[in-house]
Amino acid sequence: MTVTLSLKRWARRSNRRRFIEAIARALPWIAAGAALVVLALQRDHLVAAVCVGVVALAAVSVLVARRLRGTWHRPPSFAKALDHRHRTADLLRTAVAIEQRGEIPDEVERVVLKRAEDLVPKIADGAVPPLRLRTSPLGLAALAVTALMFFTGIGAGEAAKPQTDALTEKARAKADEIAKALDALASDKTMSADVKEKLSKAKDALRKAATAKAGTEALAALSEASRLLDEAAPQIAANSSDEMKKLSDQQLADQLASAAAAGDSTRVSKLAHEMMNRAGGAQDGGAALGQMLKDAAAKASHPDPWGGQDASPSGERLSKLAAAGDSMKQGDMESAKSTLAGLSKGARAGTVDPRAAKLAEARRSLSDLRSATRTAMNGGSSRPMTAQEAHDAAAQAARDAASGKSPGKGDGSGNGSGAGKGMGKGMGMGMGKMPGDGAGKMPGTGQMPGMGQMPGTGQQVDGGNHLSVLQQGEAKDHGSSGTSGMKGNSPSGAQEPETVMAEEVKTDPPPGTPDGIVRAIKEHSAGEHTATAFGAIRDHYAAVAEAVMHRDEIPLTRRDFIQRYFEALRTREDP
Amino acid sequence: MNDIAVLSPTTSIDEEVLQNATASLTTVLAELGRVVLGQETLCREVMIGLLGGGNVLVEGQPGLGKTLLVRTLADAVEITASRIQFTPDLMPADITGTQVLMRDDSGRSTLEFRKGPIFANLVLADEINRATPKTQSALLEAMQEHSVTVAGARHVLEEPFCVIATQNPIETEGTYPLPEAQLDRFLLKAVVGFPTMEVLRSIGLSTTGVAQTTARRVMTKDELIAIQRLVRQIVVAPHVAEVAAQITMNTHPEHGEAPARVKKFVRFGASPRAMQALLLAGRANALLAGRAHVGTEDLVAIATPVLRHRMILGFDATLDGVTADSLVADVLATVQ
Repeated sequence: MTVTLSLKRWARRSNRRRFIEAIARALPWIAAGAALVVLALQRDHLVAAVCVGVVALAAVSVLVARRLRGTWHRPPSFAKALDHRHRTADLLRTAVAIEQRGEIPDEVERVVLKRAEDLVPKIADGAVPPLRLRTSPLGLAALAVTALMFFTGIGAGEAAKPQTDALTEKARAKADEIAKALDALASDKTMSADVKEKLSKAKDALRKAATAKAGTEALAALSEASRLLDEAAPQIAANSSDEMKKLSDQQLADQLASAAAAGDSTRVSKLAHEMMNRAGGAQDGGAALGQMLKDAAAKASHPDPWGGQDASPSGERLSKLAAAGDSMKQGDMESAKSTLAGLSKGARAGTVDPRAAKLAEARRSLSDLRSATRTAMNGGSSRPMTAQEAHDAAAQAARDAASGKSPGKGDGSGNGSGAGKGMGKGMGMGMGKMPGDGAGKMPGTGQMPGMGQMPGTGQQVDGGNHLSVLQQGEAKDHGSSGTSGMKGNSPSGAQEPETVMAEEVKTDPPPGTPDGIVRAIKEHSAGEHTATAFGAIRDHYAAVAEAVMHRDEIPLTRRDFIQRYFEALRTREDP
Repeated sequence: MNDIAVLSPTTSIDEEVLQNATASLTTVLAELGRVVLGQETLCREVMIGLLGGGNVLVEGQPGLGKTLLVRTLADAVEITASRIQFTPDLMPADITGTQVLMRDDSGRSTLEFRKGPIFANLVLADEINRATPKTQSALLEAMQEHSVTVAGARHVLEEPFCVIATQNPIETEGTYPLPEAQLDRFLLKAVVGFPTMEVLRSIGLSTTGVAQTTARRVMTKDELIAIQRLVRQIVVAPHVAEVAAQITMNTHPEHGEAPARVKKFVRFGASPRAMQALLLAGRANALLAGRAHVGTEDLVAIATPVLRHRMILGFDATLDGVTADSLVADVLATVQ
């Protein structure tokens, strides 16, 4: 078996070398495939990455297999190759056949074996072809193209934006800044545990956004933070009666103490009103509430380190509040009411709770950050809007139109269905008169957005704020009727949704609401309403308005008015 | 002359014996080449036919040294040779021999078999295609069985026995082409080519002088028989036998792997006897080359003379001028 053993050894060595050569030749292809996979992974295209990886692996396997097919040897084939190379006329192959036959060779066969064995040492040196490492020129070209794609991002389109850092350095710094502000706010001992928890969660969401690798992930985290802050805002400084009703007794007492400390007469008045209402309905006659109020006043005050009374105006107001709490505790509601009324008068009108102001500032910054992130994600490209974006843009356009704004400067898209759905949320109405000056005419005399013009028959008398349900800010032109009436394909629909977006509405719209919305509103305004259809629409709009009204952009003094508007829209069948 | 004792049937074969055999054959070929000028291939093919114990059909124009080759071979090897000139009136008995009435001293008559010219070691059947088929077929038994049957009595021919038949391809009028069955019994068909200018000049000079070049006897009959036996012991590996079988199969037009031209021009492919001839001639060729085993190149080297007369070509081949040799080349291309 000398010949066969030698051939086996040589075949193994040759196979190893040929395999290394094949791999070396395929290296550029492997590298190109790996680069494509990394490229796809960087763009969060996991499926594409897997597909590219599998295809690349298969292609490389085929290449290597094809390369090895003609060079992979076993002893007989290696003997054939050697016979061919050394022109030995099948001597080695015949010898292998004799040895592998397993029978005792005859005389002539022994001569053949002897000759083959004599040949083996003579050809041993050059038996195994040397290792020649060469790469495929085509593979190198493919690698070069892939490298070009990798470093320049050619052909990646929207996904070409670098995804390694979802937020820019500046954005991350801003997120950190907001998180620090929230941290400081949460450390305020007057904050309720619920608010603190929400602030903490919002802070975590910001941290998550700062470390996110994908833009969508960062944006989702920012949205979550925004939602949490939206929820926390009314708990810090509730303004409407409904909001105040939702507060717990402790929160109410805390906010009353906070408003008193800040000297916000309006809020003190409202909160005191709510407090007295609750005390009146309480079974213990308001004793518990009085104690809570007293504790809250004590917590909000800054006592003199030398043991004296806080002589500041804030301290005095809190002392009065504590006195009112005492009165309530003792069942002397009249005295408590009187003290609180005095407190309202003593405070300055319009002073804002500093905590609420800080939170509002944080929310504004967060809103800006979200907007910037979204813009960066879109890359400022003129790609076609998605259905959701068209929806948001149309809603924004409707809001603009409802507030009398001229069409925006953006690239008007007017993408199809965005008009119908958008105007539903836009639902602007030109309220001609401010509260207090007599209510203007309600909608019903004009047409809804998308169909023509919104009603605007009222007249602005005293230059009050021109109001739209979803419009932020104030109208500049006093006295004119609110021009609304978005056309279906608004040219102003390209504005980036910023602070008011459909996805921020926390209430799920009733199924099927958008369908036939214009028709239902139109019929309702013409007196042909169907309670069920309109009720569904009104509920949906009320939910939207409710969510929006909690935002800072809606003036606090107008929220009740808006609330009443939607209450007025209720049909008789509504509960 | 080499030591013939080393090649006796009882001698064990080793490297030295093989080398001696090869040397003897080389010497014989050298003697042939010295007398028959410019026909090395023909000499080698005839030698292979002789070593393989087969018969050789030599085709060539008159005057190319066919008869000289046979005579020279008989001179170089210690064997008997006879020559039969085939004519249309040649009778089988003229070849095999006949019984003649003999009268002994007592006056009693007896029939006695008188051997014909077939009873020789080397028989030259000159212009075999001029004899009638009946006469031609008288050679069949001798060629295949190495025996003749006359008047019911079988007479075994002495070994070694080899028929070397010649035929002229150009004078076909009044000839009787050999039937396929008889063609198949020739181990090889050698084609004698026209010599080159230099060879022609040498032939003219060496054959027209006073001194005639003759071959020396360099091998005995026993030595030849021993070498014939040794040829059959040459090793054929399975893969070589597979190649031989594949070559044979690919001469058949109905075989899937046969070349396109074979499918088009060949009516009938080679018989299984061709496969045997391939291996036998391959062994002889290997021994002539000094090898103890048959390689694929041995098969390739002798495939054309082995197969060219075994492939029956169709009419299209005649019209298109396609030769059997070119078709064999196509067949060989499928296995290389």
